[in-house]
Amino acid sequence: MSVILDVFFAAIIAGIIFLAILGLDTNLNQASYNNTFSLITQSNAVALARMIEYDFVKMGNNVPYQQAILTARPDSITFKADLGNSGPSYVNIVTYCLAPTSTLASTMNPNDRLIYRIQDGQVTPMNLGVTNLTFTYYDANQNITAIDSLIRSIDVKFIIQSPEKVDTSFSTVFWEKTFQPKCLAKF
Amino acid sequence: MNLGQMILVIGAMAILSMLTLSINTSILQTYVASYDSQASIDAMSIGQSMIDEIVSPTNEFDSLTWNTHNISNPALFTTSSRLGPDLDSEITFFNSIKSVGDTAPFKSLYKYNDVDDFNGYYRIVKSPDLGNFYVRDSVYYVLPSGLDTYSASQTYFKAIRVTVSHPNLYRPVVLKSLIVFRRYLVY
Repeated sequence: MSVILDVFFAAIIAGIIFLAILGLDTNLNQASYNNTFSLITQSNAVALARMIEYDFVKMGNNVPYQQAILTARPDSITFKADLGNSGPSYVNIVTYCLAPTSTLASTMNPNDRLIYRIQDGQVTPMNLGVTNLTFTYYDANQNITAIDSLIRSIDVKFIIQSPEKVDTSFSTVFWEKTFQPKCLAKF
Repeated sequence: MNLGQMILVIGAMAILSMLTLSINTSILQTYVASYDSQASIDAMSIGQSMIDEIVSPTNEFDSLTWNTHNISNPALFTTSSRLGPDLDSEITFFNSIKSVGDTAPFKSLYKYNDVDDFNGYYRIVKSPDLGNFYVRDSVYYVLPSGLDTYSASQTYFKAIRVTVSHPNLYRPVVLKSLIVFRRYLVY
């Protein structure tokens, strides 16, 4: 009887230890996946933010007043800027826009898509996990405007998500910045 | 199971429990660090937008330089104790947002017209994924000989300090910038 009890309690203790180790292992794996995807999405967000900042602060550089923005839509923008500060004859035309979601159909995320940066007709597609890119345009009085020549500040928002789900949701980074390019202001 | 075996099992369970706790704590800290870095990315873009707004060409160095840039004595600028909103409309706006904060669309863009108006300015920026970020500005004179050193008297240099706080941040993100008065002499 004593031996049977020993085996019974030993089995219970072994079960508890096994469950504890299993739980720990699951937690560790989940944390590892989460951190990896979080790191990737954050790095992608920083990379895209730096690129946008580099271009947007130069918007209108060496371009006649009120002619800097060529098209201003909620999901895309085309503007003129002398990115290399080489003079009025070397003005670049830059476009930012999103491709359809079908361009990244291979990922588990149904919303991610390529982002295109087009400089002087040269298209650079980037797979950064962007799911949303929104431009909001404001005039000098902070009213939303759709008239290119009245735009004084631009609010840029984007959302980047991981290509695969972590647990039940995608790892997400949201970024937003309002640009007031100096060359759009009249002073 | 004799007493010796029981003590060994209890000891093993205790060690396993401590190990599990320690690993779970470390996983939790990793999550917290990840949230902190995500909030830091947002905080820096929000703080940089704030600085861009303050140093925008539409804002003068001082309320007294609106009509002339031919000022050869910095003592003519607004005194340190009076840095902040100066016009009646600016003071009314400042009092209305002092405790509740300015929210989007931000009125400071058209209410303020010089750099030091932003001294004491308080703004709440809402991020869709992380909630509210709290932004506080201070503007003060610094010594020409040490651009980090506060100056009680007027100089040609004003420092801008933007503090962005959020519950996910270990400590608030602080961004600093400097604006220099450019004197245009008329002969």
